Amino acid sequence: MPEPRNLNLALPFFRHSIECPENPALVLDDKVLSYFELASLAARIAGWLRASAHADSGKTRVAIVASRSLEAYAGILGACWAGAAYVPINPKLPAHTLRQILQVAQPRAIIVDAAGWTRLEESGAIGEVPVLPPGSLQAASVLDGISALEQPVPVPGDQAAYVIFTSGTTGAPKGVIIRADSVRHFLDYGRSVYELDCRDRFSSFSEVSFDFSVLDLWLAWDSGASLHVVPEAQLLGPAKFIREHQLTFWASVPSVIGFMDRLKQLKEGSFPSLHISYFCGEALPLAAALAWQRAAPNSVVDNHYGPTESTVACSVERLSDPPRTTPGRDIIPIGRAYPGMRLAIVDEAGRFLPPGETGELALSGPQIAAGYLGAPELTQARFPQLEHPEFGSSRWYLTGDLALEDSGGCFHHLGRVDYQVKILGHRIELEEVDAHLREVCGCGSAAAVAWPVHHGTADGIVAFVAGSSLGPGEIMSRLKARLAPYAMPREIISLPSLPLTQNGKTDRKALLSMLEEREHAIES
Amino acid sequence: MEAREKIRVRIQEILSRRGDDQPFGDQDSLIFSGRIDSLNVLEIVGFLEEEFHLDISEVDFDQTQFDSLESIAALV
Repeated sequence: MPEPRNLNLALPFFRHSIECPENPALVLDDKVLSYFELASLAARIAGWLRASAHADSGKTRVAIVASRSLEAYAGILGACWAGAAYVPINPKLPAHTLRQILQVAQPRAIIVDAAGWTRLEESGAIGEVPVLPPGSLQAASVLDGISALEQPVPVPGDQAAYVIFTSGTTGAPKGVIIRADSVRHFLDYGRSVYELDCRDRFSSFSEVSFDFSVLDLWLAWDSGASLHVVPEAQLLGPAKFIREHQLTFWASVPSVIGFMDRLKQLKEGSFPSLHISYFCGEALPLAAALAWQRAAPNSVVDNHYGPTESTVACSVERLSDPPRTTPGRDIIPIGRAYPGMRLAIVDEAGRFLPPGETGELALSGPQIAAGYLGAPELTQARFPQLEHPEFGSSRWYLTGDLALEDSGGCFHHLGRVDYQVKILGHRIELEEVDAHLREVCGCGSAAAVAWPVHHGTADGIVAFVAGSSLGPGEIMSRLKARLAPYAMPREIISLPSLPLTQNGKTDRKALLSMLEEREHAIES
Repeated sequence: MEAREKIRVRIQEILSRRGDDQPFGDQDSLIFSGRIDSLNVLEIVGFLEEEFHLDISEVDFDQTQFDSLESIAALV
């Protein structure tokens, strides 16, 4: 029997570190790390994971609580090198949420940067598992005397590559388990569509805790290219960064285009070095796509679609001339499935609907997640086995997205079937915000709405509470201890009581109408 | 009113809307401390354009320039 293929994500990196050791792998602030240098660090981290945590075999998880730091990137590479699944966690999350995630993730070891260390201390999780403290990657540290793991350990396709946590409706985050062969399928597709090599320069815009980073980080390192980390201070307006680093591959959520446009950074021909512009994570408005195309005339502008449960993305539409749009929404369609993946529309009973009919978007194929960590019932509900009239019985993921397939086989996103909203690409369940609001207010009546919303993308959240003795300031400061910064309401409005629907549920539409009326009153 | 004072009033309005009534010093961090968000930054940009005719396209934009009252006042 042939030996199973080694799908360790760090393997291509290891090969590049031998074939072209001097090539830049990571550009972070003023530092440039070559493939050789970063591979040496990863090998030592992997050695430490083996020595102190026995986290060098399959089925173990290593948490990385770090952001835009050497610890974040080398930590992820090192965890993969050791054959563990990595669990990236944003150190900006409140200690409460960090503790919830660690309880579910049960990591064998934790790698942190300075911000992650502070948060970990606040969460009280230090002392439970070995932690590689910040600064360990410099000389004279706990890594001294550790024998490095010479090369990435074999990882079979069915082993988890990473677990990424997203918002859950009950207030507890859920961990999406992605297998090594799913990531390989996703990356192989990227390599086949874009002609990439070691001369390419990729942006690293997203936090590593957001699955978008799987694209830029691993596609860059698969190709032997360099990864350029956008500093936090330039996330709103990265024009100068793109020019100074002569980036060839840009990947971000579309909201950034709106910010840059507002800052007058999208002048015609501003970014001649860009060849590929990869947008994903939320709806791409036509006007934004065209503004970007003018600024990046030598680049393709691709709108990718996919939830975390489909390994970053599984369908794509390229901006064309004339552009195709989703009727009535002025957004670029979500397009067609990647080869090997399937998109379909189902009704509430899980029956497949023909083109032209609106229903819930379901996804199938090798990139579909193994499920949610420690949540078999939720996994079974969201990943059912469905009988397709043409393709037979297979496992599908129900996205909660409303969509339709047009007569030409192109898919269009039409909103949500539930109360999930996207802010800067982050998934936020409004019911989760409700749950936290009710707890901190000690009242039964609280509801969050997304406001304002343009092209199906929300700018922020406004919260309504009724019957709470706390003022908005107190509610905000208590919420801060529980919600991620992007999920925080931008305003809290106290009402005598909340409007209800006929079924006795909070009437979010009525709350939105109140906000619309208020805005019109201000304008007139 | 001096430019700095006008900007101070505007920032106070934004913080108050966010339920933040804590005082802020001229050099206190607003963005990186999480007291204001990216949309608030754009709101301040709009205010500077309107009130002080700032040409944002001439500014080599970096959020550190908007992180404190002092650095914002230095832009106008």
